[in-house]
Amino acid sequence: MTERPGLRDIYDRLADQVGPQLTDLTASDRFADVVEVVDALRMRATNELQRSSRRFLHAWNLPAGSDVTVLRQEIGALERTVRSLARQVETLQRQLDEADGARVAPAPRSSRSRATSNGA
Amino acid sequence: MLEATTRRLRNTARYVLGIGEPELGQSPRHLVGTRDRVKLWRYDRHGDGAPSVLLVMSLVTRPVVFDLQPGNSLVERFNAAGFDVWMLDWDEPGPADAENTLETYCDDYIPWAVDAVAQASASGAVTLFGYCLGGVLTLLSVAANPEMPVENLVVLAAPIAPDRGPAQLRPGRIAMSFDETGNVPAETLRMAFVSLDPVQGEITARLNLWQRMDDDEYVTAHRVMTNWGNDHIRFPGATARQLTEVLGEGRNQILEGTFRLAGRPVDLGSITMPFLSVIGERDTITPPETSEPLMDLVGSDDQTELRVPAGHVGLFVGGSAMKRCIPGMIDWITDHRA
Repeated sequence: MTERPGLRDIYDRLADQVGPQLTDLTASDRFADVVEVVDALRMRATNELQRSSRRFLHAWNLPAGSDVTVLRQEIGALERTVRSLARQVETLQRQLDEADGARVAPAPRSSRSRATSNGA
Repeated sequence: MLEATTRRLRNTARYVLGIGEPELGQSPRHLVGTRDRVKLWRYDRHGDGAPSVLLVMSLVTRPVVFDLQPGNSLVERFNAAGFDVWMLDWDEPGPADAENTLETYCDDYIPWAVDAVAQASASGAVTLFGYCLGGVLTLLSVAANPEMPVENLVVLAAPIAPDRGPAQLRPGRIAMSFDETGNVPAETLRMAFVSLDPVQGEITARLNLWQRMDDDEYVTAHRVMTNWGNDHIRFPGATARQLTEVLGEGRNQILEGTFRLAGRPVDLGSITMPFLSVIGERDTITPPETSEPLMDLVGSDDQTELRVPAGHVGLFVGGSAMKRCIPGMIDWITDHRA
């Protein structure tokens, strides 16, 4: 006499059938196209919503979320500039060290700055 | 029976309410340095004169997976073997990191970390250990910077040929939408991984958990893995665009030998130090065929391919990894120490 299948057995059989098909679907080019379109629509809807709320808030002289985003992006750009300047200083420092080293002693094994020089 | 029911009720309540989340990354460590957002950590339990191993994580999840929990930790095992373990933590990219490119990682951050480790190392050299995309970054970094003091190179599940892997994860297939920071949102990445097997990832795993809710050990292990696995981080926007150019469908500049880093040609054939490639035979994220070309591409005379019956994370997490894969890696590194 065979046992009646439990709910889990039924699910497992169903998952065995459906799982590979779903995986094939998500791997397909068509699915990628749909995701791309959905994503673009979502972005557009978000932008529209932000534009409307920004207009409303600015009319009351209040900052909107997108203002914070712009500020964050500007701070990010500023931070990138600082990083770039820091790299230039490092390079100059290295060249100076190498010039000094060449006058006094053999060059160090590595010319890069120590980890501790820029952090904790 | 009553005891099991009580356990089930207790574990369900704790799970739903998020009480008693397992603590990850407990091995003692200290911060050695920072560069921009990147942090370099050193684990404290190491012997003198031990080989120095620098762990380099992928850019899509957090590196705490190297040190999940006591008894299930690569770092702990490496420390127990006497290795001096260091870890490069990319942290989550912010607006300032959106313009980071492969050059930023391979020509700046990795060489910076290698140099710091080498200066503290007894041998003056480092074993570089890259996982997943971190493996690709280490390969490119070593090939492009031959002066780096790297004595051995170990890569795990390094997808050098992602076009041979699952379509959902190929560069260019993950929707190129960028959030307000200019990076690819973490949720976009999470959904790409879920889409590899949506039934298993979203339903079956939860059913399994429900059925074994009275098993404390299983519930803890599930929480540990899902907490880490779902904790994706943003992907640097410029790197995503560059990877699509370099490794997108229908082209693979690294395999073709046309890849350039900051204008310099990068040839993996110029890698000459001992090389170990670890491949998981059951890996569905970076299947073996995505890493197999490495043995032909890398120029080392001393190269080893270690194949283990494991999945992507199972290479160094879980009971099987603790018994087989990690000891294999420890033996290889020990045999190749300077």
